[in-house]
Amino acid sequence: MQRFTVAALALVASAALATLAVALRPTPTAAPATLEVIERVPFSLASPATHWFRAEQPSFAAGELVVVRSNGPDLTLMGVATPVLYCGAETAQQLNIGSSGYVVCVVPFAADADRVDGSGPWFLGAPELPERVTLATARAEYAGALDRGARRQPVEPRARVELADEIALSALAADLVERFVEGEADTVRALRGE
Amino acid sequence: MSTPRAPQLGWLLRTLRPGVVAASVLAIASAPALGQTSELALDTEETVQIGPGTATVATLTGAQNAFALLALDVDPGPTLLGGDLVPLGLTPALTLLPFGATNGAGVASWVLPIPADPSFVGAQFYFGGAVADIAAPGGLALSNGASLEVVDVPTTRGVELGGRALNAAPGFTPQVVFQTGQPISVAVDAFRQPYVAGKQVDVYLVEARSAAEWASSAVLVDASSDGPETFRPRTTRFSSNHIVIEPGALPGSTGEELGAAYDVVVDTNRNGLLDDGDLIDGLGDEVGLYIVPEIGAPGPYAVTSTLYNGPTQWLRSKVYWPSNIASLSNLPFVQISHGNGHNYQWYDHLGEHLASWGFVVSSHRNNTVPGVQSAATTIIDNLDHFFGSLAAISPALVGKVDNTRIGMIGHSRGGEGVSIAYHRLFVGTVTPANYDISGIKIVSAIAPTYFEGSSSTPDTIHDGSYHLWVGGADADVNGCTSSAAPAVMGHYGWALGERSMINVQGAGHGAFHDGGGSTVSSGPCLLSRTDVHSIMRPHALALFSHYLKDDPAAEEFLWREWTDLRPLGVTSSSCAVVTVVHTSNDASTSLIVDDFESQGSLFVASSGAAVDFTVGNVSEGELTDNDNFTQSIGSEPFNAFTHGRGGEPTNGAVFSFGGGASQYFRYEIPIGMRDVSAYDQIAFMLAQQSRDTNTVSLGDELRFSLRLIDGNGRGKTLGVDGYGDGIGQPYQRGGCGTGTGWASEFESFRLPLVDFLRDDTLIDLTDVQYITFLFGSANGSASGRVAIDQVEFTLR
Repeated sequence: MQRFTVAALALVASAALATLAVALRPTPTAAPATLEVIERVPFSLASPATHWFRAEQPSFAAGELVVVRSNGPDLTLMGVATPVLYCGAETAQQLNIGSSGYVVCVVPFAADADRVDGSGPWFLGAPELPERVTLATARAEYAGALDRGARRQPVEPRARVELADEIALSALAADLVERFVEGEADTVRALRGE
Repeated sequence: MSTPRAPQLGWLLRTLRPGVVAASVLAIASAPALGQTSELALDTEETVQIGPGTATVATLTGAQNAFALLALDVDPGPTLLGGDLVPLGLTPALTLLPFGATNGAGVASWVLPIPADPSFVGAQFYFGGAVADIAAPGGLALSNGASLEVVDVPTTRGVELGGRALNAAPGFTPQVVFQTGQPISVAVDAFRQPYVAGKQVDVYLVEARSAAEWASSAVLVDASSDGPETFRPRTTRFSSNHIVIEPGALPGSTGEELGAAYDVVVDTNRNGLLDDGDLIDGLGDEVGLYIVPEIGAPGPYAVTSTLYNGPTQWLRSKVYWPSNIASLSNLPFVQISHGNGHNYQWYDHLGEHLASWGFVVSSHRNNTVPGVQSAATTIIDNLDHFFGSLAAISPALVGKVDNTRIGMIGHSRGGEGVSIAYHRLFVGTVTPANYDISGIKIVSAIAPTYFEGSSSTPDTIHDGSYHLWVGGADADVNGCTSSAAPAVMGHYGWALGERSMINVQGAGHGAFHDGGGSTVSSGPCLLSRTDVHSIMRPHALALFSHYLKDDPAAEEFLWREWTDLRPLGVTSSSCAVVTVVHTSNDASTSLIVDDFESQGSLFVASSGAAVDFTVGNVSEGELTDNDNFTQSIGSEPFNAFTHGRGGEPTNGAVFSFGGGASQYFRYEIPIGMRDVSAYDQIAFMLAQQSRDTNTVSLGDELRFSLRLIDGNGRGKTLGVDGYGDGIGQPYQRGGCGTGTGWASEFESFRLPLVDFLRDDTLIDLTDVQYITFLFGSANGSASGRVAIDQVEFTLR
């Protein structure tokens, strides 16, 4: 019964996203941020998930799914190390390939971390494997980004979605990829497991 | 030599009868000028061995239609008689055979039967003849001498017979694996098998039989497309002493084994049976040769696949298996682990292909974005989950998949992940429930990253078997420098067991999957995804068939030169330049002369062999370039080598030659190691050093020669040219510093030792003293710079 409820909520969230996605794309009047926040979808998980993108591998039961558009840097996933994507003092989980310039990320609200949210600041740190980044490193990178002028972006989050687990989160992320990212149908299928 | 008893000789002489054999059969192209000398041959040879109860034909060639005589003795002489040397001892046993006459072709012949009496064994007879010739001194043209030895009919002997013709010395080389369409030749070395010298023999290509099957039926049933062949092996000119026995029309295997198995039989007594005196390639349970079809084409089975979603998002996979799995049992398993930014549904070209040849394959979702350790966790978990969830994946798989024959193949971060996974299993930090590390027979990595090479959790597979794919045009894990994650070849050095590598020039990082989009490549002469997959399918099939099925026809695809064994059906693009290297690292199957991992002196090999050379700029050390590929061998002798990254067993030597003069790099084998007669091949790895001035100047394959010399000073030199190509030219890619030429590529060379024994150069393989690599115009290319590693004698 609980699973049905969560699934229903996910569907509702998806439908809302379908309707609002295009409208929510900001039409900047000033120069856009290098990493521009397009969409924020807060979520909670009934079953906590692991944040693989930090050395401590903390668990998280809440966070935000965020769509970010790059207005410069190439965010394409590579084999070799690329600059680590941060949201505040936390590493972001990039879920899609990113060659289109749009990435869909999980920003976890990990128990051991400083409070962050999807407004950022978003920035790229030193090239490294995210799983090697410690919380201390993330904090240092964040401090450096602030010194360089990184700022939060006032994009209002959508209503929080309650999800059962990481699989449901993956499915919700698939919806975002499908709506915002061109040319990643295979990513969508992989996220959905279909 | 032994002297026959007089009664034996008398018995023999009573049986002799003259005869004239058709001139068309006996015409000898090299007949002497009439009136000068005459030529005597026994079964076309000067020396023959025959058994009791058989016969030889003596032919004397001289003036036409002339009186001819033949004499025999028990002593070869020669004896001075009337100012001429007669090739006989002129003992009391001297016997003149019944007179004969030459025919219109100038040939007279005598049939010389040997009684079926074992007491003749060991007897030796010497023959000399003369033909009346008014132009000759004294009116007789004397012949050369010839000898006949009566020997025990040897038992059936196992020898290498099947092979292919070469365009240079030794003219023919043995070969086990043939592809459909390739002619199969047979050579009989009459020097090493004197019993067949000069005899007319029949040659059969028969379907391979076990020892028990041969014991059950010795009847020879030719399976070639054109019937058995007949020829007469000669003791002269081994290089042309071979015939084609199969033009290449046989289809090869039609089952899931790669090769159709055949034996080759030389029926010396022409009785249609395998029996005493015959030669066989494939003695007992051995197989003589294999004919392999197009293994890049789908195999014999239709394929079923399914998408499986396990209980977490990282336990998702696409699984492939033969559709007729219900009628099969105990199938080997291959797990595919994709790379970063890739997708587990992008490996149909491997999954479909391997399943059609009898493998069960799972390509799983891989958690690569965090990094290679996360990927390794996913890899371990998926493998365990797979074997624990067969019923959930498909009931068809239950009881059908063998968890003791597992292959792992990963791409990019997944390629490094498979090594880390193996390491964790090896050191026991994880203990899976449904398989054991002993079940993992091969770890293969496609363009793997190199993040953890020197960390506390290294990506080493210890002494497990390892295989590496390198794309020369990779624009991601690009192989530039040894000091960072792109150092793809560094993995090869970490593998301490059997290891092999395939380097595909022109292949980009993304060309190895089938996800579409960019091939992530950079450089000239780029290959399409279709091109690369045409190379991957047969190579992967051979790889996993070797390690998981122990398929005897598979291994040669891992080490034979691409120009020599290019799988059928691969791209015909001239840009498809591929090198392969393979090392067993197994002391039980090889005698390592020099692996360069100990004895740091330039003048001492790891085996203790003495090293000397006249080549120049010699350096020995780790094959590591820590910066870019900018040419500077003076300060960086291992420039453009990325096989090491510090602390790895990846040493080698480099040296230069030029100016056209002959130069060498030589080993003197320690006395206790000189018996190499138990081995089949001499093997070594060589590379051209990329961006070196000599390499750039050469701009081509680098050719050289190899010489073996035994303790008696007898030597034989073979040019690598005869076998195909030399050392390949480095991929002509720019970047990573100044100049052109990408990472230096080793390739394997294996020369059969029997090739050094051809004709009359009978090197003593129990006493090989020197191995000499010869360079310079007289031996191949005029100039070049070469790296050398892993010099050894090996079993086939």
